[in-house]
Amino acid sequence: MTDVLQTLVSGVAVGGAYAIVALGFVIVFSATGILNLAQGAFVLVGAYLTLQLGARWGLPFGVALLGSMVLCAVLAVLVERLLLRRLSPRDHGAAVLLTIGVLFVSEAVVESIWGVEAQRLGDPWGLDTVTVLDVAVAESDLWTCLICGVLIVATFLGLQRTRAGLAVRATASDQEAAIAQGIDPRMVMTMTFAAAGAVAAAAGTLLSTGSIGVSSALAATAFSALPAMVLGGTTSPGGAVVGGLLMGLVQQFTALLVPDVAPGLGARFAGVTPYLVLLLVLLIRPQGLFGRRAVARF
Amino acid sequence: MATVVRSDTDPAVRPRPTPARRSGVVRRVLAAAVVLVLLLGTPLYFVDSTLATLAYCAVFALGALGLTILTGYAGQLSIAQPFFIGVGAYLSAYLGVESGWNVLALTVLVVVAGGVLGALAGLVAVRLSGIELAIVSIALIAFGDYLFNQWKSVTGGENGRSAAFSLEIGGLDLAALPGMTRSQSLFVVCWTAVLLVALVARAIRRQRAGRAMMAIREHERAAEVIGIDVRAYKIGAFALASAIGALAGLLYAALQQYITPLDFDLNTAVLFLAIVVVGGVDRPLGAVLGALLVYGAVQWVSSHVDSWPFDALLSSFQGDAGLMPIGSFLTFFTGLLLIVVLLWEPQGLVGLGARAKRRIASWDVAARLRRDHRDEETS
Amino acid sequence: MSVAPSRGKLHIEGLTVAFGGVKVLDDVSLTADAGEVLAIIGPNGAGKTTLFNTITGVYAPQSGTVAFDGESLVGRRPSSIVRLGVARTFQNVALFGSMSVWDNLLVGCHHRMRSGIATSVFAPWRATREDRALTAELDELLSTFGLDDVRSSLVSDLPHGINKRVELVRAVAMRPRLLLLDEPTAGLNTLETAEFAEHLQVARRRLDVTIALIEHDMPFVLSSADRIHVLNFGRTVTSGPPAEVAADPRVIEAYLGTTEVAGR
Repeated sequence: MTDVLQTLVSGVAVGGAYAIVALGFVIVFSATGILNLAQGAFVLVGAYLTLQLGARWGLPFGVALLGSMVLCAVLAVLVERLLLRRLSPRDHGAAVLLTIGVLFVSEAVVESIWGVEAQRLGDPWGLDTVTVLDVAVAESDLWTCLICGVLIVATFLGLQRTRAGLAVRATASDQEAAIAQGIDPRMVMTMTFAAAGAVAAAAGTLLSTGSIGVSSALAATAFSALPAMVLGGTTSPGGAVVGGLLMGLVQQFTALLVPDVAPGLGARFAGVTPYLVLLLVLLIRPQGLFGRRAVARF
Repeated sequence: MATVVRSDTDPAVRPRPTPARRSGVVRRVLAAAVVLVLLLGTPLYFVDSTLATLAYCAVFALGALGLTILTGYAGQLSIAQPFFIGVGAYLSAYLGVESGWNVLALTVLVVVAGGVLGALAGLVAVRLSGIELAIVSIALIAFGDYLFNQWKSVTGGENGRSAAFSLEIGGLDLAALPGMTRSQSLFVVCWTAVLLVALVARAIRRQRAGRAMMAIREHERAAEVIGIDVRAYKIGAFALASAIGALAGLLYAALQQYITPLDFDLNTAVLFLAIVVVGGVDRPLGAVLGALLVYGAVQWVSSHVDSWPFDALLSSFQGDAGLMPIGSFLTFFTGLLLIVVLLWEPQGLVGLGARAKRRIASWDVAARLRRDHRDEETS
Repeated sequence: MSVAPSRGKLHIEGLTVAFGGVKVLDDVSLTADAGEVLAIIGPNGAGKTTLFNTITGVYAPQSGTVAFDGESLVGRRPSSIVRLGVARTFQNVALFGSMSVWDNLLVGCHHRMRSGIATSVFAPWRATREDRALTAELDELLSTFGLDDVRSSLVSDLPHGINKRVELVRAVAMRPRLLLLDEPTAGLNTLETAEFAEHLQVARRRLDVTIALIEHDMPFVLSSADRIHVLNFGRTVTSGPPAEVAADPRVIEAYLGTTEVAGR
């Protein structure tokens, strides 16, 4: 019973982080048609910037986190403005490849500046636990759930209640119609990248709290959020959130159960579960859980 | 002025209306002669270590040829080629070393296995949109990583396993061709494989199958309406690309004689992307040029890591002077290549070549127009 | 399902096509006899393109039958319908822009050939032979339809009028028994339309083909069609010879909304 509660909380925590990374993927994709794999770079750089601002330069953790989010938003906009803009807007394949290039360069640069070994992030809660219902739950998991929840709500409010959000939703729905309404697609692209960069930084930071620490393996974690995006139907923000939470829960519960139920599968199996779930869902329901197959009028 | 293209199949087209133009047959004989000289002459001219590098370039070219067909022709963006290469490598390593299968049987098995797995992947892929396919291919790499690490009895897990299987067929040892050293023999074997597959890829491009794939790439609905069985061709492209990848895996294992899961991970997948982007993805020559340039460059840096400028720029261990750990260099280099080439010439070297040809063709047209204009004025 | 077995006859009966509750075609029945040109007209949104898409197998009908040459087309895959001899052109020309005119024609002949991936791998000479066998025919098509000059030009570089013709010639190269033309003169000026009408007659003479065409250009329809079928809101309004239909008040109403002429 202890295990279940702990796993539930950590599942929601990891899932929450996946959810916001997936949100970043979905928002950019639905508005621009680009699969922005550089999101992994923003996750990585965000975590390390928090490390630098907080642990190295002594700023309070919350400030470091916010600072990292802002800097990553700027980084994302730079990537979009300086690099992606130079490509033909309809060449989405080239854009994906370009973002992969950014991802790899970022990984190498991060390793150069901060080294290859994992490091403690310097979060204020570290390995502390909190007792909930007689069970010791990792404080970092609780904080992650909270902050991810706040960011998810903020994102949805931003999409639904602000003019910028409306512009993004309009462009995602029908770019030509949005342009006809006077919405500048390039402005929308910039905004979505900034948002994606900011949430990625938060996710990277939160995933590095607690016992795990920061390392360049974080970039791979961003890839684990991709199935969440497809699961949700690639263009549905709500789907991305549900998909992310689902992935997180599946992953953590698998890690809990495998040693007892199927030890032959090994410790790495939990890391593959998001992809297996993806494959399963795609085989049964190709449009994902929330997607709709658009009828292409010809 | 409309762009004039050289059609691979239109017999009436002359790309450059120059009078002294070699007939097609002479050109082909010349090309064949050049290729033969390169194939057999290179081993005689270069040292073993260079030949070894070139043999690895061949393996990468082979893997990239699969991508030429799958992505270049049929337009399916999948990064999962290293998965099929890994399957080919581990299958041949295990059965070759543990059960002593001979290399011919291994080749057949590996190609068939790759084809079947590829077809299965294709079956899933046909229902997916472009972005979903890209993500599923990432998933396949992740799954391959898990499988190659976990199935220790076959793969040796994290530490890898021996792939020192015999390359003898009948009395002939492919690693010791008559009068040649091991490096020389393997060079010839690998590049012969590349040559054969490249010829097949070229044939496909010019023939009905290639046209169908390119139609699918450009406009799937219109392709359907012409009567192209889109599903069948997509699955076929996947099967063929994966079979070629598996073959590359067998050769890779034979060259390296020891394989680990790190040989088939995401870094390798991106290396292949860099190869096809640099070389050009829609022609077989692009795969070959890309492999030579990209893999060649990587190898060259690795072998010069102790001399200037790399000893100053790269740090080989903790505490060594340098801007970047050597392990990160490959990552950095492939990423940078992708960015630079995509911004400058998205179609790669082949695209540069095509642009140059069109430039030259338009000079001819301009010259002809000027001549016609002059004729008009004097008449 | 017994359909009167008639060679070259397109027979549609009781066809209903719906998308999520909206009936785009409602109980439509029409026939085109062998060798005839049937024009399908009606205001925008009347369901004409949907009708074509259903015939070619892109959409599945909710109910009704579609048969050509006595064979039912419903439930077949698009590629199999093409093999039965059905070819189609599109409002927005569906050519392959990155290929030359020649290659577009050659790829149009896809269903007349057999070589696949396996052939190219194991017996590539067979595939080359197949391609060569068509060269003379395609050469002749190009010169008959006046496309010699542009045979090696990229389709995406050519003007719309030429591309409409290329699409027609590609359809002719498919040796169809049923030809569906979706707004073939859309975007063409009067001169180009007249040229197209001529080319259509040339095509008709070469082929043993039944033609159905969707059009808005009334002079073109009146001069090219043997019979006209009128659709509005997914339903049949009327059908018959051109003169009759043109004078039918219901048709005029469908287009203009009223038969009353504003007093001047």
